[in-house]
Amino acid sequence: MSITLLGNILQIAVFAGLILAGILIILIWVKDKTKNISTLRLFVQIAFTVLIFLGLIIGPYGLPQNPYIGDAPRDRLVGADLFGNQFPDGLSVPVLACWYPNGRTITCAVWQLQAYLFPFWESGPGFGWGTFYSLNGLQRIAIVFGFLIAMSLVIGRAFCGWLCPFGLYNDLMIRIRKLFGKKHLSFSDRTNKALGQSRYLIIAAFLILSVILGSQAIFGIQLIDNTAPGEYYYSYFSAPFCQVCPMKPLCVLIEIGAGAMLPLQEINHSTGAFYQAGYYVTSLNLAVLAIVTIGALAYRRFWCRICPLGGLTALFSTFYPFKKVALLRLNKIEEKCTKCGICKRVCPTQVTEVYEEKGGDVTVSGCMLCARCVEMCPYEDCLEVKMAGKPVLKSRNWLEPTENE
Amino acid sequence: MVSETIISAAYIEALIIGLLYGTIFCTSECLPYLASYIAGTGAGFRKGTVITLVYSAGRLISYTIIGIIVGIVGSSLIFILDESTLASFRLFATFTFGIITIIIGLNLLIKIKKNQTECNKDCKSVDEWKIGRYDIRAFTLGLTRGLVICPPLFALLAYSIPFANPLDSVALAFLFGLGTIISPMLILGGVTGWLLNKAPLFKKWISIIGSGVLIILGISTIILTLITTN
Repeated sequence: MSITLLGNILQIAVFAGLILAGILIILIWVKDKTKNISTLRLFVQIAFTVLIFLGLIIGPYGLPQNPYIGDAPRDRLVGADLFGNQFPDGLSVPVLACWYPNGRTITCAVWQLQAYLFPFWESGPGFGWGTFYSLNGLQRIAIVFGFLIAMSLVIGRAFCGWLCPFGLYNDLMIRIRKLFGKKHLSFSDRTNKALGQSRYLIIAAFLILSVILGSQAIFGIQLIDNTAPGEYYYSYFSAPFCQVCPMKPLCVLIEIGAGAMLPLQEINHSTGAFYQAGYYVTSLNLAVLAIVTIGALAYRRFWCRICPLGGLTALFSTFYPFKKVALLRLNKIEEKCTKCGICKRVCPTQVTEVYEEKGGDVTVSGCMLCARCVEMCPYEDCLEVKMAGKPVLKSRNWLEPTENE
Repeated sequence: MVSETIISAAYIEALIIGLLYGTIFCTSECLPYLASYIAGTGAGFRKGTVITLVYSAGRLISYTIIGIIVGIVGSSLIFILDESTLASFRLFATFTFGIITIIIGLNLLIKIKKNQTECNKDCKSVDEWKIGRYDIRAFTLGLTRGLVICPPLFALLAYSIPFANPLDSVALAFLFGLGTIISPMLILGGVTGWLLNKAPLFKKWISIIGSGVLIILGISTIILTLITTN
């Protein structure tokens, strides 16, 4: 067991080393000042996606002592081995590792909030998915909020800009559009603000819905046939947002593509209730994914403007009282700004505050801290991304070559 | 004569049952009404929490009144309090609650319409979208909701009758009510207001939808009551 664990840790260390090497190579080789941060960001996004969907399936499975390979990779993650005994459904690191196919170690915080918020008092066997959470429900809620708040305070919405796999998907869509030589479209400022605010309504709606639907776990009320606790469709209703989430079908597809999931598991369950399009995927998931894909082909970071996970991260990093203690911030020095408006034009989520506000901390809930504005700002040190007050990225004068160039 | 130990144990039981029932049942039952009302008034975190507290206070007073009635006429009520009597009372109380919910929803809609007209003339921004204090409505909503005697409260009150002390019935009902108040609903009410307030551009629509949902909930409460009794 200890050798297996050591092997797992070694594999993670090798992977981390490769990522660091990649970052260094980009920093040294990419000389174009208007592209180096974007290239670095793309690399980090890809690395993180691999880490989530492929890296974590390295684990104890397949070894003689652990021969069983399940239908989904959630039982054979490295983290399941490290933390599995304590937290069978994983720690809620707010990354888009969908619980349905992935689960365990890192699970989407949106799922965890819905699943743990209400049926945390549930106990005893035969109560469906809620069984796991019953005994340590309050502990789980504390972990979910603890991780979510801690992550939001440390990296804020940089998670959306740099780490989120669905953000990468959105970025790739707009790159495809560029391949055809077409410029992206933009929303009007008012529509963009409305989209940004709608995410909080989505969060409120699914929290209320999960509480109401969660009552099924206690009383066995069947709003729809076969949805009682322990029955097959219960999971569809215990986490309402997940049934429309556009990321879930992609997570399943990636795992099937990587050979980590059995495709038959999905296909065999494709004929069921009207809302069921597979073992994990609902027809609503597919419909929303189609809409989001079309939207992402036209607008930059289309989904990120309404994403509830991004909304949760923003809530705990850009609103009072969290704003006061959040570590990663975007700063502007008013004296150096000439109001050229580049920052406004290049922002993938069309944030206008960086341009409009006078100076100081310009981190707002719509800003993903992707640092595209920092990269494109042609005025030396005008925009800075600061971590705990220390600048980590600064705008450079890319209009005039330096002495070395 | 029931010993003091049994009575004090019953007090603790009433509080614990209230806590459990509040966490499990009251939250899922009351949150749709409360969240719609909070949305309808355009309340934020603080106001949302105040509304939840006022609503809960209304319920608590209802429970206490029921406790007083049972306490005063307890010995005679033991002969009256059978299932059919309770069912009739529940039907009446639920019906009243449904009507009150509809009235409050309509009242909010009228206020919103009035506010909209005023806003079109004077208000410069959505921040000025305020529709006044509605705590009395939250109180009425809670008060009528509390009259719908739930099975655990009924069981507790029936249990208190042999104590032959009116104060015991009142105390049990009050402690049960207090237990139900200290539930996740208290936080969720404030959180709902907090989240909804993060979308000021939708404030008008949130208010309209909240009031509309309140009316629909009131109608569905009445219809469901009629269906189940038939």
